[in-house]
Amino acid sequence: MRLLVVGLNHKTAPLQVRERLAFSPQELNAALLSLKNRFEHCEAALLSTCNRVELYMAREMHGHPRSPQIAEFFAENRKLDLGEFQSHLYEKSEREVVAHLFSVAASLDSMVLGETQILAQVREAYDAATEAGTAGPMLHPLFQRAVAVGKQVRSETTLSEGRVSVASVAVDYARRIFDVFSDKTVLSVGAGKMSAVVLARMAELKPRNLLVCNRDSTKAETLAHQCGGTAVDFNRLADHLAVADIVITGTGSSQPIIARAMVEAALRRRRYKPVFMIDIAVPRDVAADVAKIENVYVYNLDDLQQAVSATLDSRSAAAMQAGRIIEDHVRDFAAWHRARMIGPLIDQLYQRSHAVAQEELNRSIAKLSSVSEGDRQQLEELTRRIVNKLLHDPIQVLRDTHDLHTRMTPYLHAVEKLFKLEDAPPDGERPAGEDAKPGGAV
Amino acid sequence: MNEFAAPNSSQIALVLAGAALFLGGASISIVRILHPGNALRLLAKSLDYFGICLVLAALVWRAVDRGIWMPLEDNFQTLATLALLVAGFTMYVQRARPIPGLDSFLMPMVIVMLIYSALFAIHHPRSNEPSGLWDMAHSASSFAGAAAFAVAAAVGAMYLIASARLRRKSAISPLPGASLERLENLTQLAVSFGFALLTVGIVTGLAKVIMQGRNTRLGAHWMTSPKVILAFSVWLVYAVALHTPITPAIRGRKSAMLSIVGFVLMIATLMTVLYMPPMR
Repeated sequence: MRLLVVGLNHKTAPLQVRERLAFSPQELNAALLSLKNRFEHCEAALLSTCNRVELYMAREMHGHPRSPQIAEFFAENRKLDLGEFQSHLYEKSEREVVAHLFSVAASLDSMVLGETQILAQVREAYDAATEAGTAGPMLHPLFQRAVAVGKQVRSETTLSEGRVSVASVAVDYARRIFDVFSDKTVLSVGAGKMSAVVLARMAELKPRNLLVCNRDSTKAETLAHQCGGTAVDFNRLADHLAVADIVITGTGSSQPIIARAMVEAALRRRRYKPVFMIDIAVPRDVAADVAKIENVYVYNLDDLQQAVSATLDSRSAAAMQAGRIIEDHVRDFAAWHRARMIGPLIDQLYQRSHAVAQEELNRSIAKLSSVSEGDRQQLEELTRRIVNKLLHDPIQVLRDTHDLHTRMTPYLHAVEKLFKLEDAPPDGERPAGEDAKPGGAV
Repeated sequence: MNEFAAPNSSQIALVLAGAALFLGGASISIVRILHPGNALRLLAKSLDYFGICLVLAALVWRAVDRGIWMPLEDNFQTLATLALLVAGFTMYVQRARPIPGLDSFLMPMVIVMLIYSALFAIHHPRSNEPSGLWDMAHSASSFAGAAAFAVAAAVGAMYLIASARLRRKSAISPLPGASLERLENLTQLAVSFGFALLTVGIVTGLAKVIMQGRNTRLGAHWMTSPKVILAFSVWLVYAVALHTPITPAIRGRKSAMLSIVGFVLMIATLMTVLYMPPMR
């Protein structure tokens, strides 16, 4: 099997591209099933967060899909033109995939180094793949190991300690806009986890009012109760905007719910007093042109995370420590994968060689006039030893191809070709009728 | 009344030494933005206080020399007094509720005023002695108003920079900074004070001109003199800037820009006054 990942993240694509390619949790299952229907013999897991959309796959060495087909899948599924996002895509294969996923789970690849949410998101991606039946013998251990790596990095390094969070940066920016909070109103549009975190930090500023509005009024009431605020009617959002000095938006809407005209009207009603809007939704809840309005300061997730990442120099030592943990796990996983791929091939090689030797021995014994049972056993032992000695060195070389930069695939191909092992599948996974080749090695 | 005499070289040297100390204090304040530290803060503060003492000493010396205690007798005293008012206000704010960076904006104005005061004393010494109560009230309120406008312009500039940084989404500096709301409130407060004082200055000036009749140094066509036109322009600009409670659309950046435009016009007015022919 060959591992690959195709996707984009905050380093390669701006928010406006990422938000168009993002999958909501409800869409994951359908997307994975559609992929499975098209490419029956592959494994797939889709990791879609605010910062990345990545499709992890395990497929036959020379099978499908290839990266262009994955890009097409994204385009069709998200109803986009390839040109809109293709230049932002990256592709990694084999060992790079393992190292990448482990780094992602450990939050080394996050915009906010050390943030903990990504680990839950990796686990959710794995759960979705398991539920859709697209995780198989390759992706199960890969994702399980990734979650374990993430946990180990969190518990054994200081990467997550004293981190600057998006919520704390939002509060810092609020302090740069407002001097006094006792006469201010904070409005949360949406009642998700991130909104709750940011709202809780804003509540520490002791504003006069905390309002929560959400399509699901029960959730709004729960969050309002937690923060000591008031749940308000979502349908009167325009009215709430007119009284809100700080607006936190984090809904799951696929379209902006706060348009420029709505904010302009609200601003007139509030006599042009400044408004701070924190848009933590992906896709964004606040239309892009709202940021152009005078006295309105709009910060989206990218803006906040960039501010956070600028303050993280002090964590380089912890990041190096996390890197070493990841490296160890990548090596272990590669060894496990190699053993999994090479074991059946070695068995085949031994069986075939011993069978040939036994066949030739039987033919020779048949030509001899009288061979005692003791002699026969001696000859069988002799041929077995010769076969074992002859195979010892090549098999040792195969087993030893574990240095970080050596790929095992050429060796496996060579063994198959040289000893004509191609006809019989080395493990029980290859479907009948496929062009059976040895798996790609991590 | 004594015959007018230019300030002596020691008085000028004191004012220049004060400017040098303010320059040192402002430079240290800028260094503190990159390398915050209590020792630097204390050093900057000490230099500024010492600078205030030196300029004050020069003014007192000059007043004792001349026997006139209204420190607006000539262009040397006028500018030094204005500089002292701005420096004093800065030190007061930084002591009561500091605004990081405020001294970096205001002290350069103070330094320029002190250098100009010394240059006037050396090259263009001229009596500006207030004659009578109206004149005294006119000069005192106008110059105090100018000091308030200097503060408003500096804080307005800080507002524009802070607002632009927030719009650019620049990373937050580790040092605490003043909020837009506080800068806006301070600008409005300074403009309000300045406007009230300027209004008093204009009214007393008008009264003085009317009483002096043709003897005014502005001449018979005083209504069209540059000083009067500029002073009214300044008054109008600040009237608009103060209009935000009624017309809130001009609050924020527009109001901050108006406070800077008003101050530029104020400087022009001041220059007109300082270069105007002496009283007959």
